[in-house]
Amino acid sequence: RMSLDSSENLLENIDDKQQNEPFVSIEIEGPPEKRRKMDEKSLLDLPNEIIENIFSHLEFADRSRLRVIKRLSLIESTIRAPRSHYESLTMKCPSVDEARAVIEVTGSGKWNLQMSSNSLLSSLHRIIPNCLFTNVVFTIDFSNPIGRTILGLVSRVHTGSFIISSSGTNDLPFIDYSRICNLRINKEFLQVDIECEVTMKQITRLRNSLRSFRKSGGLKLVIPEDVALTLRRQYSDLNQDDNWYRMFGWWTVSKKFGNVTATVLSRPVDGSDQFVIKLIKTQYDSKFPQDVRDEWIRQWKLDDA
Amino acid sequence: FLFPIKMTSPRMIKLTSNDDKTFEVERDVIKQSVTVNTLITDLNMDDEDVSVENQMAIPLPNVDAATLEMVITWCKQHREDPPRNEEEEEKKEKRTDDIPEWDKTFLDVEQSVLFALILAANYMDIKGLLDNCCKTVANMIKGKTPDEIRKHFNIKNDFTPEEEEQIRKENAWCED
Repeated sequence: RMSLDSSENLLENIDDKQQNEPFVSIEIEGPPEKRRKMDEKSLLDLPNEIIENIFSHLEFADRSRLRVIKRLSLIESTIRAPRSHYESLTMKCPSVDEARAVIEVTGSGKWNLQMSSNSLLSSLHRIIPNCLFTNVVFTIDFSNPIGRTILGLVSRVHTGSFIISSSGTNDLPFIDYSRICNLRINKEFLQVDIECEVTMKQITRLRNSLRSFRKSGGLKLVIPEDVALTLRRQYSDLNQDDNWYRMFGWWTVSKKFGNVTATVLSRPVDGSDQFVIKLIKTQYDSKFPQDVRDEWIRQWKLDDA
Repeated sequence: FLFPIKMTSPRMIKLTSNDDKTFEVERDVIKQSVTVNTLITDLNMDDEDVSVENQMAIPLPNVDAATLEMVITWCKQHREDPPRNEEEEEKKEKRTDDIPEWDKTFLDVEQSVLFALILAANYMDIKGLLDNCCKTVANMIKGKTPDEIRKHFNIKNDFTPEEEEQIRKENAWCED
């Protein structure tokens, strides 16, 4: 059998066959590459619109599985078919328990959290069964005494990762994560905005997930000084014990050793999913114990800048 | 007084398959084929003054006799079906568990026959038949592993092991 993509080869082969076997019982209408004798026909020899019709009756998982059977752009295109009528949906915020994440807090106060969470993708998929998530934005609204922060999450199935980014600037609030999210999808089906609130409990779970991820070897972290200070100050305003440091493991260092601010930058290693963490700016407090610092650098493969 | 009563026999249409077999089918039955219906209208074949003997047979060059016979059988079975509203059909949830029992049995045939039927339904534009055929094929795919699908439909794997592994990896999330 030949790939339906290679129409030139296919035509040559069909011509050869027709010369050798002049009897043609029935020819299929449609583009020349689809011409086949009846007894040679297979599922993928059917006209594209029929294959699409068949695939349209399949669950997404089944259609995804079809991607593995043969190199066929038609399969790829049918599972990515936009469904423009899913413009407004409601879903419960999925669990982040299994999330593996990479977090980035940028100078403008943006957070980028790359997550690889099959459960999250599955949850999204249950809501939007016909979408292959290639670029999903997951926006979380933080409602809190201080203000609001919005996180956005971008999922990329192909890399198995999500990115959560915030457009908020100055608060890391008590997050109520338990609310229903609003999901909005644009017409190209490239973007899903989910608004929700995050509970403290859930952010703690997220933190734990992040810790697990850290242990598993990948981390991308950028904490500009101003952001770190802002976050610390705001949390301190609300909580005497400065618990905010514990929200994400790596901030503990800042808390523990006082006047330490760190900017950590990671970049993906070429050709690998692993991230290298590079400490690009560090202001160590004099109380910062050398052994802890060494351990920190060793554990995170940091370059002491 | 006795008045002569004009007995109206059903209007018949002649269809010829690509292997030169001619079938006579009731106009009401074959109206489910949009292609044939359009031809009848365009060729003004609804003229009752023309007897079926003198009527031109509609050639169906893409359908063989065996398949055409099946198509006619299906149309006879579904002659009382309400006309399809395509807009409504589009809006409906896609499902494959709503194939009528009769159709399930009728479509329980070899793959090559089913594909021929699909092509005929597509060519003759019989949406109901085409949909049920496509659902039947979809049911054959459902729940099968890629290997099982390949085997079932005799599809040759043209991926390298690395490419296949990569796609399986990409698909992992929806296999949970």
